[in-house]
Amino acid sequence: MEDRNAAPPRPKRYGAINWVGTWYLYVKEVRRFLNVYTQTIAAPVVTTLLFLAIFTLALGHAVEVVHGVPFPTFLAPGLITMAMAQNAFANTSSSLVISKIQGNIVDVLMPPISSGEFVFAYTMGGISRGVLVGFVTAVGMSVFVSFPISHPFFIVFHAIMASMMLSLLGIIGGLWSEKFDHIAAVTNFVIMPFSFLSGTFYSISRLPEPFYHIAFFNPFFYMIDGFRYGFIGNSDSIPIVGVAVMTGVNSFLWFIAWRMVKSGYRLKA
Amino acid sequence: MAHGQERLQAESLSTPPSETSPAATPRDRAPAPARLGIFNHIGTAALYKREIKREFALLAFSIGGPVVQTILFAIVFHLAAGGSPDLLIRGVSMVAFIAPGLVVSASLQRAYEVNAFSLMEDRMEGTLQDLLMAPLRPIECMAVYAASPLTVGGIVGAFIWFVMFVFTDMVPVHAVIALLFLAGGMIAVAYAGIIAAIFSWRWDSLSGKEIFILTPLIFLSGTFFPMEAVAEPFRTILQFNPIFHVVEGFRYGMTGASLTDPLLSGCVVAGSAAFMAITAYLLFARGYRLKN
Repeated sequence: MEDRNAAPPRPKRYGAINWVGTWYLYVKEVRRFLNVYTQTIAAPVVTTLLFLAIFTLALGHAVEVVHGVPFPTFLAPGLITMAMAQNAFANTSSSLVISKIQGNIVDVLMPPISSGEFVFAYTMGGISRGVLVGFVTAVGMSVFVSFPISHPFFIVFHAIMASMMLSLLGIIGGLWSEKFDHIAAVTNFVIMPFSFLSGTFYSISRLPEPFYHIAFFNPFFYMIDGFRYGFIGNSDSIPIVGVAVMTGVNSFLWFIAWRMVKSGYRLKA
Repeated sequence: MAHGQERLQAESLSTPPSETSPAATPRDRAPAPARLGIFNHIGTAALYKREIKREFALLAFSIGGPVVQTILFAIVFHLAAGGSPDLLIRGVSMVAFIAPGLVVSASLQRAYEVNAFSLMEDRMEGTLQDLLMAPLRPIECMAVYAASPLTVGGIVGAFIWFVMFVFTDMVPVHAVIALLFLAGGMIAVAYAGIIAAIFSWRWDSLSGKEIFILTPLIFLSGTFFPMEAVAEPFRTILQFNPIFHVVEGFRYGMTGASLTDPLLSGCVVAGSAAFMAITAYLLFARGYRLKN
């Protein structure tokens, strides 16, 4: 027999941080990309290996040594960073844009998840994809290219910072976009040029004067250069400056993303 | 009765509206089906227009993406190789060498995607029956599936050629031959896109075919690197890639020199295009996996 005098069920209590909610939002994001792993993990690995093949075959015999290491060894970390960056951006931006267009953005806005937790979960999802893509790509490349490891801290730090920065940019871009065309434009005209032209394929000491100095204001350059420094022990910038720049830029982007979600910009009309 | 007949006669003599009765409606005369003759020019033109409009509805995807990517490749190759005095490939600078390859790779990729995405979208959105039930013969559909990728791929290729022309002064030596090779390659790849869409039930299945089959074939076909740089066992294997022959033929048309005999390459390209076209036509005409 039911006890009709029992109190009605109370809403679940949670403290300052909704751990359960954040965890499951993160799990949703990760399962989203693992579900189609041929597109989200395997495809970037194949494309990056193709890039490695093309550049090594095209330039290998003329550009023997860069920064004291063979050209493929110089190129490989740059390509890994590029793959991590593009995939972290694609993860968060596509998730938000598709949710908004299909209408199931409501499913993530209704639960008791605060703006900070929202940004945190999406960013961690993007970092997971970025780091996973980077790791698998590195394993694939290590068959063909020798990877010296000089400073492991910088490898780990910049892998996470790069994925974090691009995940946050993806959140910001995804919130701003209202159609697929918008986010495609951002990907094609902002992310791709930055990831190609920030010292991925060449040392920036090759750049002519104005561009050489401009490169030092580009956070993409610091993350690529720092990640590469962790492998080959040589860099175009001062490593500590890179650490500081990435930390600063990421803090700024966290703040922007958090403010955008909190104000409901283009989320809650 | 006679009054009704008078009304019909009055209508058919095109009398001014004030003199015909407003109660006379077109339902009095059954509409006749359009006479189409041998070739359904109305339907084919309409399908062609739809394909083109569908493609250019999203300019950032269709033109912006390939053009930006190509420019980035050109800049990166130039900077990575730049200044190296003994880096002349077949007698020209790095960027001048890859310029024809860039045009070919972007055009072929777009040509494939136009058809593959269009047919796939029809299948996934459920509008495939609109296509199959229209009074269009399979050969007419196939004609459009060649014309629209040629148009889109041609436009993208022209943009890229223009950008490359600004930087490298690449002027075609045998323009007609270059265009024929490019068109042949686009047709082969376009029909391959139809076949890929026929065999794909989901979007990631289709994009998997593109990423794991088409992109490696395009990248490893001597577009960006000279085939001379490849070590022996791979070199022979890569020369079986029909896109290699498209690129070399196009290079012959652009620069007058190529690694292969242009006649041999022409036969390979024409043969691949014919094979793809016939296969796509047979599959489409039978409705294999389209009409269940």
